Amino acid sequence: MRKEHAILWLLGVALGASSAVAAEDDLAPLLKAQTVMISVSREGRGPESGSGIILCQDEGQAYILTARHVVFGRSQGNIREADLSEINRIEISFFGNFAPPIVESKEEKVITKQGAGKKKDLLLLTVPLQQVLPANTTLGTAAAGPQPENAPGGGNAIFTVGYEQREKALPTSWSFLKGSLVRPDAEYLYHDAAITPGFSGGPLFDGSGALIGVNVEIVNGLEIGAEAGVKYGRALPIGPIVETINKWLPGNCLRNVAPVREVAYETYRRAMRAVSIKDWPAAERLMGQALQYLPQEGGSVHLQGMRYTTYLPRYHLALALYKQNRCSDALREWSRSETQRVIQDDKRYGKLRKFKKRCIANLRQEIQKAAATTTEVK
Amino acid sequence: MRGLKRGPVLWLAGCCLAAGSLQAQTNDDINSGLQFNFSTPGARSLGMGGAFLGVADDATAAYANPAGLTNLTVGGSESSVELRQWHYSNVFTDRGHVLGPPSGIGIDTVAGLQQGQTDSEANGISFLSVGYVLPKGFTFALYRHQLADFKAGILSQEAIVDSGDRLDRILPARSTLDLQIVNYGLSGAYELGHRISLGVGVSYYRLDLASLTERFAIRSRDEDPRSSRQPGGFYGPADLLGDNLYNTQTQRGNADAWGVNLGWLWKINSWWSVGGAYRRGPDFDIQARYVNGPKRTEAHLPDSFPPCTPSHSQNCVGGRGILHVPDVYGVGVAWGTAEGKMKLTLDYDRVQYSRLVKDLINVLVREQDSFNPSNYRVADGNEVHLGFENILGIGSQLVATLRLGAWYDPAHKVEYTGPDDTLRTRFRAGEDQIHGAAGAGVVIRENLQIDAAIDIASRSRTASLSFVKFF
Repeated sequence: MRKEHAILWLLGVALGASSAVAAEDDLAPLLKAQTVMISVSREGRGPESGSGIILCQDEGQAYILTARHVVFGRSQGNIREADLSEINRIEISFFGNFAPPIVESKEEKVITKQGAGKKKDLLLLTVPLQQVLPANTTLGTAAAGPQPENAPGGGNAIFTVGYEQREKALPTSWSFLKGSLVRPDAEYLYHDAAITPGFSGGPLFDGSGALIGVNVEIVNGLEIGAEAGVKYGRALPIGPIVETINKWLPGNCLRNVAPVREVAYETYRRAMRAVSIKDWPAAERLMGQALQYLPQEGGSVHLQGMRYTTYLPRYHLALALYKQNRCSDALREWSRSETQRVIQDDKRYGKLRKFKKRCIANLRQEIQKAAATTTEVK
Repeated sequence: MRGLKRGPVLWLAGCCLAAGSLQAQTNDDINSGLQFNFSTPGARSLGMGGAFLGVADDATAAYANPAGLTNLTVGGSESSVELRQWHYSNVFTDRGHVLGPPSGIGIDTVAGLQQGQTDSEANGISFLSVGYVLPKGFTFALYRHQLADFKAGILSQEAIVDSGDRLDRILPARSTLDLQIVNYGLSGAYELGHRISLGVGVSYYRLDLASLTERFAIRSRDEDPRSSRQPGGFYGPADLLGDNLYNTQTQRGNADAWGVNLGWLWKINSWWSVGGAYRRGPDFDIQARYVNGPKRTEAHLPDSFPPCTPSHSQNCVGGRGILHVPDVYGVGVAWGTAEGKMKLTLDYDRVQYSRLVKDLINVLVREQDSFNPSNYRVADGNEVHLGFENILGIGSQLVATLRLGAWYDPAHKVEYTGPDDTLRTRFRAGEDQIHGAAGAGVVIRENLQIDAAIDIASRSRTASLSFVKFF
């Protein structure tokens, strides 16, 4: 009975938390209920724990997203990633014991594991689960650049949930942390919530409780141009993740969310408006946001009337940076765009080369000036 | 440029007139038999049955609904040129015996009114525009719109009207008309927020109107039956020789005028949008003149009659009048799929045709003493436009589209409702028409859009080819 009451209470919380920014106390149990602990034993290593997030349930199965290294470990130096035969036991535990743990051993394989290669720290686990869990994940996206607090999604505020690996911690001890985004970009989201290694593979939510990323690493501030010694969480943004895993999910799994591509294209349309009216800071912000949803260039986006255009967010992000006299950043983004090759078949490629030449010339001039100034000082 | 300093709204501009029909404002028969169509510009709009108020997403919005120019902020600046060919069938009162059986003498052998029909055609550049996006989200468009380009000629043998106590033959007439209206407009728009845009425009219009109606004498019915069957006789064919010219009516207009238009557009979400527009028609000064012909030699008639003015319409013939082009206001709704692959549009337009008979001036001696403008009427029209657009292939390098449309075009000919049976025969109400439209378009390499469309109704046909260059 106690479990049923808890489920009903969480359902109530879930309904109540539909406003853009829900109260933290209301969200905490809801977001914890979407999070699982994943404990893995591998040959030659002690048990390790990480976290995961339940994306959805469908026909007796639950779809859980986590980081690849939570299950297979990381390749570091001489240590290579484990293969399936080296994994002795996997146990997935649910918050509040809403469902019994799922256990996989060498003898009994019950978990389907789908990843996108060793380079992507991403893994989708499909597990048999008859119990209906009280919460469904809602997808969101992190805004690129600083956001006002009252912006949809709660501005820069984030929440994260994970299993806190501390000594004497209970095996189902979920930790709920609050923080803020410090540097979102197209590839990673960086936040200042004080996560520990057990948060790996766990969810990163925005201020409204929508899933915006998956924690994959803890990095030193130096790596992101912040204060050395300060630790920051690094998360994969949800947009590219969904692009990768959507093909493995049942059709109605993410039905409460607009298809990522559609959202990316809508964001791109708004970004193109900013380009058209020469609002370069907005163009930079929106192109960055579109990249979070869909980093791969290519495909047609409807602009207006009969006008369609190729999806080129990285090229336009670089253009926005170039127009703001940030040549080195622009050159980096243009190079990335060229790597994807779509731009090379586009009519804008000529402009890209022209802008790159100008940028390089500008940078040379700046270097020459700086060198001259240094000589004078000497 | 002073307006620029006062604020962007003042220099946002555009232009205007309306979809509908126009009639020079005299009771000359040539006006009664002609039809002018003023449809929204662009082959794309034409292919969608002119249902464009809720869409207004290209540079032709400058005329149709200037608020739609804010759509250019997403796609960028563009310029367009449109070529149109108009084909009209002009219906007029021609021959027959009205209100009684024919006598069987000479031409009087046909029972009932027989209407004549002539075809006329015009073609040329109908629309040119440049739509430009400015920083901060302002957009404006400059354009030239050929509002009317019409040449027509009719020749009526004229009917015999039996009023019971009197048998009357309408004089044979030969008429020509040449009408040109061009407008040069400047429209501008701004998105206020919440996906709501407002647009405003001003237009400079230039009218060139020239018409000539020659009426030929018919001899008295009292002459001997053999003579009455001869040309110029009461029962004979028309005698169109110069010395038989009875009178002449002319209309002249070389005038300038200004018009304004306003529009709004609300893109409710990715699927639905609604829009509306008001287009104020210009008013042109025109001159109408009546001249007795060589054949009209009755001693009691003066050589000329006192001219009419808008404030003096009794006991006069011809004079100075005002040609009021109808105002139009309308609303439209559009539904489309999120990626723009399919669109359904519906417009309602109210066309104030009643303005056509405002300040009507008399050019008929028959009405010299009894002219009553309220006997001539035309009701305001309610047009309904329906359009459909479907994009067949999507690739930013080649986009192909098919369009279909239909619209209801209410009758808007000037009708005489007074006691004179002859004039009732000459000025008859028109008929409603249903137009069907179809079109296709391609966009090549995000660079050039080519559209073609045709609009067909029972008495008109319009073909259009337009090119849009994207910047």
